[in-house]
Amino acid sequence: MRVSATLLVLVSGVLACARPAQDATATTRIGWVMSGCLAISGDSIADGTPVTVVALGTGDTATVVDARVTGRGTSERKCPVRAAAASGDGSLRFYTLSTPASGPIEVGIAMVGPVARKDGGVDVNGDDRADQFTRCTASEGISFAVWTNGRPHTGEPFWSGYEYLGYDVEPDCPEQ
Amino acid sequence: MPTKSGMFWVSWANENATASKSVDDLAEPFRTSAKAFITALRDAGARVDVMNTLRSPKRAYLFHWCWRISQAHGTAQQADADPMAGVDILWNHGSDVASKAGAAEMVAGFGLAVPPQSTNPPSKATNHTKGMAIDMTITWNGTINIKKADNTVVAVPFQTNVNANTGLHAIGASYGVHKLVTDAPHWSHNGR
Repeated sequence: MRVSATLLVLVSGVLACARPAQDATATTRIGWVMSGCLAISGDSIADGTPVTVVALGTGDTATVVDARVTGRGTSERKCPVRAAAASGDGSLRFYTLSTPASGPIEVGIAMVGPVARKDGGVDVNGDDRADQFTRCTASEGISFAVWTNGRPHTGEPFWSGYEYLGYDVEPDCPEQ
Repeated sequence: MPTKSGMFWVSWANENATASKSVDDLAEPFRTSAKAFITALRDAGARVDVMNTLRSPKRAYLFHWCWRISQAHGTAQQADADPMAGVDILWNHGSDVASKAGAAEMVAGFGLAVPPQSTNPPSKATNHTKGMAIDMTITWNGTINIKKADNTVVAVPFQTNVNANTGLHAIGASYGVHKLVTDAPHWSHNGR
C-alpha cells in the first residue's frame, strides 16, 4: 500500500526559526523506527501491542505495514543504534518490533493503538485526510515528522522525533 | 609509508583523533561563553549533561571518506587526492573492491549509520571540528529562574522539546551560545 510521503533530498541550510511545542498527546503514541527498533516516550508498552508503521524508503514513497511489539529493546545487540539516541532524551523507551512479511522495517514512523486508514495512507489526527510522514538528515541526526496540514516542512508538525547520531552529517532538512 | 584504510585507522582514531566531552577543549571565545551559560543554568537548578564538544578534524575526515567510499558516493582516488595532514592513510588499495572493503571496515568499526538508516555522509568541517559547538541535554522540573548575561533573570518553564523552548534559546544567545533548532542537543557560536 502506498501513501504520500516526502523524503527530502534538497541540500539546504538548517532551520532558522524555532518551533512551538508539538501535539502533546502525540509524543506517547507516535515514535520512530530504526533497524526494526521503535523509540517512543511514555509508559511501557506491552508485548503484542499492535502498531501501524509508515515505513520510509530512500525514495519519495512510503509503505504502511502492520507490526507488533515483541519486547523491550534494551541491549546494543537488539537495538544497536539506541545508545546515542538515548543520550539525547532520557524519556525514550525502546522496543523490538515483529518483522512483517515484506521484511524488516529499517526506517519509519510508528503509531501505537488504533489509527484510521485514509486514501491508502494514515490519518493520525482524525481529520479525514491522509497525513504526510517525512524524514530528513539534520546536522547530527535523523529528523522524523508527521504533518497534518498537507504541507510537509511548513509550519508546525503534528509530531516530530530525532535520532542523535553523535557525529556531524551533511544535512538536507529544508529551511523553514 | 602510508597505511591502507581498514581497522587500523579505527584504533588509531580512537587513540589519536577523539571527540571530547570537555568544555575546556572548546575554542575561545566560545569556551568562555559556553561556561558562563552552563554556570547560569546550573545555578538556576538545571541539570546539564555535556555529550560532545570538540571533535577532531582528523576523525571527521576519516568518517567522511570511509563512508563515501563504502557507499559509492566517492572514490578512493578522490579521497587520496584530498589528504589530511597527520593522517597518512592510503584509501586506494589497487582495486575498487579492496578499497571499498577497507572503507567498509572503518564504517563498521566507527559505528557509522548507513543507508537506509542514514543516507548522507558525515561532514568533514563543522563547528564541532573548530571547537565552536557543544551538544548537551538540559533538563529541570517545572519553571526555573535563569540569569541572562546582562544579569536580568528570566523564568523559563521546562519543555520536552528543547527546540521549541525559545525562552531558553534567548538566554543562551545572551551568552553567545546559539541554538540550532534542527538538532536537540546542539548549540554553537552562530546557531549552525
